[in-house]
Amino acid sequence: MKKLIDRVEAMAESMELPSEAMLGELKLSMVGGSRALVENHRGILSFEESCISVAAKRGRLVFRGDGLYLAAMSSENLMICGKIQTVEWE
Amino acid sequence: MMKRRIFAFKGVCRAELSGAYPETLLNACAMNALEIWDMRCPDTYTLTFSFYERDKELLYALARKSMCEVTVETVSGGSRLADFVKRHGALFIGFAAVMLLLAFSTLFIWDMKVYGNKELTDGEILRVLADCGVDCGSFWPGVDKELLRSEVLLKLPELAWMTVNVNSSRASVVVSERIEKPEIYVESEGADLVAEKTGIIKNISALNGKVLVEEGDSVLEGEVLVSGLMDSITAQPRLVRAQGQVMAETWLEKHSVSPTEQNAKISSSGKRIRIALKFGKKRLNFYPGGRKTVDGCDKIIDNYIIGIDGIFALPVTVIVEKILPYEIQGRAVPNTDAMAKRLYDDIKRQVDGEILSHSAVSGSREGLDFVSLRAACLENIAGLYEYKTP
Repeated sequence: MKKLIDRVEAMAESMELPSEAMLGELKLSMVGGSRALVENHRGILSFEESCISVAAKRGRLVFRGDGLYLAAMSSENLMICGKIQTVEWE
Repeated sequence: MMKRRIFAFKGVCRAELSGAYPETLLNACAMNALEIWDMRCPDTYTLTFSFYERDKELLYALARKSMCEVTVETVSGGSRLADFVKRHGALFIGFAAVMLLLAFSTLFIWDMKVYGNKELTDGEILRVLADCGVDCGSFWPGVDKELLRSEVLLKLPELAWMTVNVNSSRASVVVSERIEKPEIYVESEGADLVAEKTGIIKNISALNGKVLVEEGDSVLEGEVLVSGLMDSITAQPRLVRAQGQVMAETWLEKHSVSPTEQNAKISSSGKRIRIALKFGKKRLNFYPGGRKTVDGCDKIIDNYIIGIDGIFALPVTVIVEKILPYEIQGRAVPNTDAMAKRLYDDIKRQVDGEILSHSAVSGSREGLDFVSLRAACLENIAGLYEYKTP
């Protein structure tokens, strides 16, 4: 199965196709340091004012900062607002 | 703004979520396409968020599954708005009816004003418009402006142009009156300047023609002052149109007779105010006895059209009638000065020049006042007399 995924990934890369569309990889778009749009997330792992952890297909994304909150949430997209200081991929 | 209106219409709840692991409920909401927004985290075990009121039951079910507790803190719009509408249903229906009536009434003309007229009165123009089918209560989308203009211009030849602009039940009738054509004459047809009054000539300014009189001459009415028959050294006498101004001293005498004792209106007590409403063309009187004219009373009528000037007008007019009773009493009025003043003004209007001096003689006899005014004037006495061509 892993081989198949790797092959699809390699094929998407060779064809220059976006992997977030082909494989459902997490996509992060940020507007300054106050707003972040996370696409293809897999749920919230933890939610605090200083840290929001978002599950991805492979790994997780951790936002750290002050006064963080979720402006909107749907099954695929997530909008995080507040003073974002760091974004870590784990 | 738009977002707030949508929230008010749909109904929005602000809830507090508490539990050991509140993030599970957020994920469950996302998986079940339950719209939640503005999620904040006051402490580790508590979350606050907003959701639509219609999703309340689904949220409670998901909270039970996620072992969380949801407490709705505030509700705005939605069911509250519906409850308010239910409680004040009559008010809303009345408001809707008024708005509907207002929208419907804007299709009709309820107020008309005429602009641009000088010679013709508003009443004459409005009467012709009424004959052509445009009156208060007319359905204006059905009015053909071109046809109306043609009909009105045919009936009122004094007008050169007209149009009717309707703006929310108010019709503005804009007219332009016809300028009279100047008198056209043929230069070769001769004309004399003759004296229209008897007098002593003081000054002559002849522009065309042969002058037959001199300054200081006395002339009688009808005497030729400037002739249109010009002598020529080389040819036959030729005809010209005499032009010029002949100023002469003239005398005018006017007389006036008036009764010494005159009837005058004296206000008496018993002033009344009558109110009526006019809906379109139907009138509703709020007083007994009908609208018949009351003897011995002055009636002042004020009409107030309900609406905002320049924006809209409703088909409702409040009519306020002031009934002012009076008594007629005969009393002696010393009016010889006023009569002399009137005579002086009359002469001033009549004279094509100025009044040099005047003197008045007054007296009373057999209940009558007499005034005679004699004025010496300096005026243009030249009048045009055209030769009659066979």
